[in-house]
Amino acid sequence: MDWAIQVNNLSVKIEDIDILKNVSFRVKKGEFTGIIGPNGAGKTTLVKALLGFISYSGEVTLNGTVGYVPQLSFFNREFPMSVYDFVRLPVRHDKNWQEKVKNLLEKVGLKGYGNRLVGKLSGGEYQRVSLARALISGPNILILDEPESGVDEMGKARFYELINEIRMEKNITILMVSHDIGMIFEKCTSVMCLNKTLHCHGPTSEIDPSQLKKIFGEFDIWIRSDNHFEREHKHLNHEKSEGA
Amino acid sequence: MEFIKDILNYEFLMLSFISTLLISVLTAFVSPIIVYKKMEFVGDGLAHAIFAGVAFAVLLKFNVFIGAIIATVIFAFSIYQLNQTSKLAESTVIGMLLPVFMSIGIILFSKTDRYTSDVMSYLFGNLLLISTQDVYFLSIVTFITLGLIIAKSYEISYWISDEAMAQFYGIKTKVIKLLILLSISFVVVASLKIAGVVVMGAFLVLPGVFAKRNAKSLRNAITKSVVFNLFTSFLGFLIAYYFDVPPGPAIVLTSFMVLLSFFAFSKQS
Repeated sequence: MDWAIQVNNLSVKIEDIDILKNVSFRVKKGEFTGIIGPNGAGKTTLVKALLGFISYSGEVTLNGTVGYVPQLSFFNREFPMSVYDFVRLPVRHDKNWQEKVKNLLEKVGLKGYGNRLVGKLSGGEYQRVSLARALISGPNILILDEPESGVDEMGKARFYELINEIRMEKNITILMVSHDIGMIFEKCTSVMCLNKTLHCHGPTSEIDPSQLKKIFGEFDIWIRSDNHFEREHKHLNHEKSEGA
Repeated sequence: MEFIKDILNYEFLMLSFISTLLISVLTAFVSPIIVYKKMEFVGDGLAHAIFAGVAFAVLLKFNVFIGAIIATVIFAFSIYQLNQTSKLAESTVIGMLLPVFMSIGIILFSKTDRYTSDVMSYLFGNLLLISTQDVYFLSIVTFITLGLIIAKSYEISYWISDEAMAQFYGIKTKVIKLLILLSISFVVVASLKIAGVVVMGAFLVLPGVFAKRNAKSLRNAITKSVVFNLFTSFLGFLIAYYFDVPPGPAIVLTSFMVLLSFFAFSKQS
């Protein structure tokens, strides 16, 4: 089997409203797939269905273990939980959890953060400890749901670099929901355009911009891409000023 | 000195003093969980649900604790089931059931001979109601609840902070929720004779509010909550003794004043 995720005729209805309708796709092993779509397109619902959080009709097969990085807003930031306790969840019964957490924190650039409280971390730091938690059990598939929400531009750029690095190193399959169209086209190997049904799915280079305009509208695409270009611009300026 | 002499001389005072200390530890353990998980209304609802069970037991002349346990367990299961199966929010379900249970209690109590005295005792607590068996019952509930919360503190922490992820990584969140609801039910039942139905909610909330400030973990919050409750319960009991007022409300007012002073002091510094 050279595929990691297979979905056949997936449909989700909430209170008689179709949130997803007959979605079918396959994701190859080692691919980095971005899921894009306007607000209310069913992106997070698709992720929830893949993870078994909600009931659905159709067939979902995940060929391997899964790590999940949810949206920032899911964690109750008022609650006092240390980074160590936060990250060790998937390996809490493992005798060597402390060593594993330490190594992962170093990997995501948060060495020495173990005793800090998760609620006091910045958006970018929180996403990196979430990534450490998702990776600690050595999954074959990594699913990320809008990891850029609540993260500043520099934090986003660093986070995407980190994801790419991990993908190259561990050859894991990545499925990522994002609003950052520019980033998706830059970093991902394939793209899925979702708006209740699957409008397009294929290698990034083969996606026709007119298909995107059909589901987003021209103005919306410009806004989303502009955000991304602005970020890149800042990034380049930063590098230039450091070089000088 | 007079207080210590009386405690040693009068069994009812000794029993109520031991009960007060046990209740302060017990409620201190569940309070931070209630406050962090925003279940304040659940605790209050369970406390009021007791009333129907107690009235039922008084009317049919069997142990009030058994009546109270039956009522709170029915209430806890009803909240859990209605919340899981209907589209109603937990607070809506409680808001609906709370007056129903209270109404049943009042109607049943009106059919007993000692209507006013019984109702007052269970609404506001009464030291004279406490027996040696009650202290044994309270000790067992304290032992089981503390053991459960200490053993499952990690799972409870994740259930509070991120239920979806806890479930995704294999924590049985529905079981944890049910266990917590049952624990609160038993805590409420065990605290009935000291605290009374009306002020029980404060016992379940105030220590948690205090402990929440600058806590480093759930266990750390529980430790702070225990220290706060032991101090305020002891002080409240002394006030109740010297001013001859019911201990439940005296402890609640003491806790509230200590909490306010703490907030005022920490704001200044």
